[in-house]
Formats: sequence, C-alpha cells, structure tokens
Amino acid sequence: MNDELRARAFDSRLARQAMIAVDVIQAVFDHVGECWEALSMEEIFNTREIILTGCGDSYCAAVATQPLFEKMTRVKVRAMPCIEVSRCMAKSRFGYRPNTPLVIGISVTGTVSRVEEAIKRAAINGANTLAVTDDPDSPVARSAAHTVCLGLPKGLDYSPGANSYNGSLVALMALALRMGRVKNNISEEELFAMRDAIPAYAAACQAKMKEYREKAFQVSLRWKDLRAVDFIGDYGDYATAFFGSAKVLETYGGYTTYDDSEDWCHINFFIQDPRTVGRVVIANQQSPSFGRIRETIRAISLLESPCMVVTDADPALFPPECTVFTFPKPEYFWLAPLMEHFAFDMVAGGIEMLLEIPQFRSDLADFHQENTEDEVRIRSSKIEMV
Amino acid sequence: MYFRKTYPLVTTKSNDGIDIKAIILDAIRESGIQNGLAAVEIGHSTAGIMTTTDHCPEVQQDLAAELDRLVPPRVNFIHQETPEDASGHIKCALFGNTVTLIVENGTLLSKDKLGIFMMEYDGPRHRKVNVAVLGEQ
Repeated sequence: MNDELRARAFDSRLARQAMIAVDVIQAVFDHVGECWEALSMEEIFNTREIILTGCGDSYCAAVATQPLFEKMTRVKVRAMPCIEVSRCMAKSRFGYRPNTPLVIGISVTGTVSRVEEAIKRAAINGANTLAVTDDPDSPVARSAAHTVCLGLPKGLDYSPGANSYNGSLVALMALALRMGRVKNNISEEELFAMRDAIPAYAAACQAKMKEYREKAFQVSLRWKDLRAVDFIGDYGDYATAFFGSAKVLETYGGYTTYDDSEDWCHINFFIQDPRTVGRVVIANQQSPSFGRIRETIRAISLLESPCMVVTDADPALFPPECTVFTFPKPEYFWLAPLMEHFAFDMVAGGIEMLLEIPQFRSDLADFHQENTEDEVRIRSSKIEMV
Repeated sequence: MYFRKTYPLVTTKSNDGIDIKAIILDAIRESGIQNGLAAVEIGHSTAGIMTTTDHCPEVQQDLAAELDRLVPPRVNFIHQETPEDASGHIKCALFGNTVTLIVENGTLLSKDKLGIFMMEYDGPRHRKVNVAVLGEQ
C-alpha cells in the first residue's frame, strides 16, 4: 500500500467531517435556539402522542431522540419508518384528539418524497405536523404546519451524512427540551443545564477526536477485507448501530447488518464464519441494558469475531482483544448518539479509500439507472395518499 | 448607615413559600443598626416577597391554591415561554417582590406577628434575596 493511499484513507471525507463536528453542532445549536417559535404552548399541551419519522439517517435521528422526547413530554412517542406513516398506518390513528399525534418529519434536504407524503397524510387526517429540515422552503417544510430549520453552515461537504445527521439530532434535542420545559417537567435551570450540555459534550468528544482518528485508521487497515460488519446497540444507541450500518453501505458498499443486543444473541450470533465478520457494539454504561450488552460482547469474543466497542465505560470491563473507543461520559444519557457514531464513521471512510470504491457507487455503471441518479428512488417517487 | 447582604435560596416547586424572617434578622444583627428600615427585595420577575402570618401553616396552603386560582398557568398567554413562567410574571407584578419593614432596637418591630415569605412562582430554581438595612447604630 502506497503512502498516498494511506493518506487518503486517513483523511477520508467522514474523518474530515468528524474533525469539524463540534463547529457544526455549535452552529446548529445557535441557530435553532430554544425553538420558541416551533410550537405554541397550547399545541405542546394538547400533544398526547408524538410520531418521529424520516428515511435513512433521518430515521436514525428519530430513533436516537425518541428516549429524550419520552422523558421530556411523558406522552407516547414512537420512531416510525416513513413508509409506515405514509402508507401503512391506519388513518384513524391520526387526529383522534386535537393536535394529536404530533408528526415530526425529518429531512435535511427537505426533498424526500416519502417524508413529504407522510406529513401530508398526517395533516389531512387531522394530526399536527412539524418538519425538521435545513431548507424552510423545501417541499417537506411547505407540507408541514410548523418548521424547525437546522441552519447548517454553508459550503461544507455533508456527504456521506454525519454532520447533517448531527444537525437533525441537535434540532430534535432542542425541540424535546422545549416541550419538556413548557410542560414543566424540567425547571428553567434544568433546561439551561441540559441545553448547555449539548455543545459541551461535543467539545469534550472533539478533544479526543485526533486520538479516535488514528485508532479508526488502524481498524480500517485491519477490517478492510472482512466479509461483513455487524452492529449492535440498544434503545437510543440502536440508532448508532443503524447509522454505522448505513455508512458501510454508503461508503464502500459492504455487507452489513444491525440488531439490538438481545435479538443479536438469538439471530446474528449464527452468522457463518464469525472470524470474518467485524462486530461493532455500542456499550454505554448508562444504558439499562449495559449488562446484556457485556454478555453479548463476551459471546462475540468467544466467537473470535474482530470486535470494536464504542463506550463511555472503563475499557477494562471488556475482553482485551476488543478495540475499545472510550468516549467521555455524557452528563445525560441521551447525548451519547451525538458523537459516538464518529468512531465507526471514520473506519468506514477509511475502508472506502483503501478499497478505492467510489462513494455511493457514483462511477460504477451498475448503479446508473435510467432517469438517473437517486431522483426516482428518493426525490421523485410518486406521492400517493392512501 | 446603609448595609446590604444577599442570601441565596433554593426553592423546590412553584408556589413554594419560604420563610425568610431569619435571614432578615441576621442582616439586621450583622448591620449593627438599631433603628431604621429593612428593605427586602428579590431580583427576579417570577418570584416575590409576601408578608402573612407564620403561625398557621394552612394559610400558606390556602395562599398557594388561591394564587393558582387567580392566575393559573395556562397556554394562551401572549408570552409563550412556558405557562408557569408567564403566570409567574403576572403573580410577581400583582403581589410584588419587595417589602419594607420597621427596625427598632436591633430587631423587627413586627417580629412576632408577621411572617415574611419568599414566594416561588416558577420553580424549582436558585434565587437570591437582597436585604438592605438603613438607619442608625
């Protein structure tokens, strides 16, 4: 392997995004503010159920912030795939009470047809709707009754999505905290402490990012020829598992899967030839399932799968053969998904460069379909009201 | 002579009434002033100062309930921060956040008759009460 290739792998697009993550988080944090304008107090009090929805990374953002919305609002909160909200969910489950459910559609570009469709379907059936997007004039924003605009800094490379994902997370966190404060489930001082913890946690992680980058590069070198990568995470960290899996596909198009720790023991444990499958486990100590996660890691270790652990716990708690990325312990459990994904993002970015596979297969003929690009798949998909 | 001291307080909930007579007496004692006035002020707009009896705790309960009946937290205030905050501003404006008390012989003239309470309208949170004593030693 020549030096130029190594340098490119070390300085992948995802690694570059990781190195400026804190700046993007601060910019979005400053832009979304306290979300005062997003929903009136009446709407927040009338909301008895929240549905968070989106596609791809945006669905991950929904899953990652569901626990915070539950904690803040104390109402039923579900993260649902967009196709379920737009096509499958019974109409009678919209608008059964005023402003309920509140359907929050997430799309950074605001051009994803299925998110637009989900919001429109929810609205015409009596739900309240809110778009979380970077473009307040986009079709998704125009479809919704309310919008929270991310305000991502212009001129940066957001592909594959990592900092744009963080933008959605920060906006959703700010919105959840606003709802918790209005409902008096947190005091003003708690609100300020929680809000300030968002950029503070990002900064604490950023301080270690050079160390993670070097470690991630070493994992890229060891894992580039593995047959597949298998991700494991629970609750909010399930989003990080899902997100990591998405980065494998977006960067170098490898085989990948993701699961929670319990189901993994029932299903993915049986993947053939485990020594050729990399396992990435999100193991945060504040997770109620931390004990089960550790059992899972022990099982992985016995299978002799290469294992990468992303954690805020003492590395000594894991088998010595695991490669452990130790992140600072967040002040609040719901902050962890904001930064932990960068550990594997940088591994995936490195492998993409090492294998010299074009991101999103942009140079490969197999992936060029008639009517071009991703328009038909994502942005020009026919909107239907069912 | 003028003497001022700031006392931090921690409230536990909205409409919490915290008896602050002891800290006012502490300020008077520390000032050394024998005769004059003690001004008590809370520098917040969602908390207040009230005087009422401190002999009957149930009066505090009635007061808290009555405050919420008069200015309940509700969603249709024009000020859309939170219902508690918006109603807290109104309560504070209606019922005040200062009291002036007479000091005689190095203590409060009505020490045995009046209770002095800091009222929290948007808690829990950390508050500061200022006590200024003016007079002659």
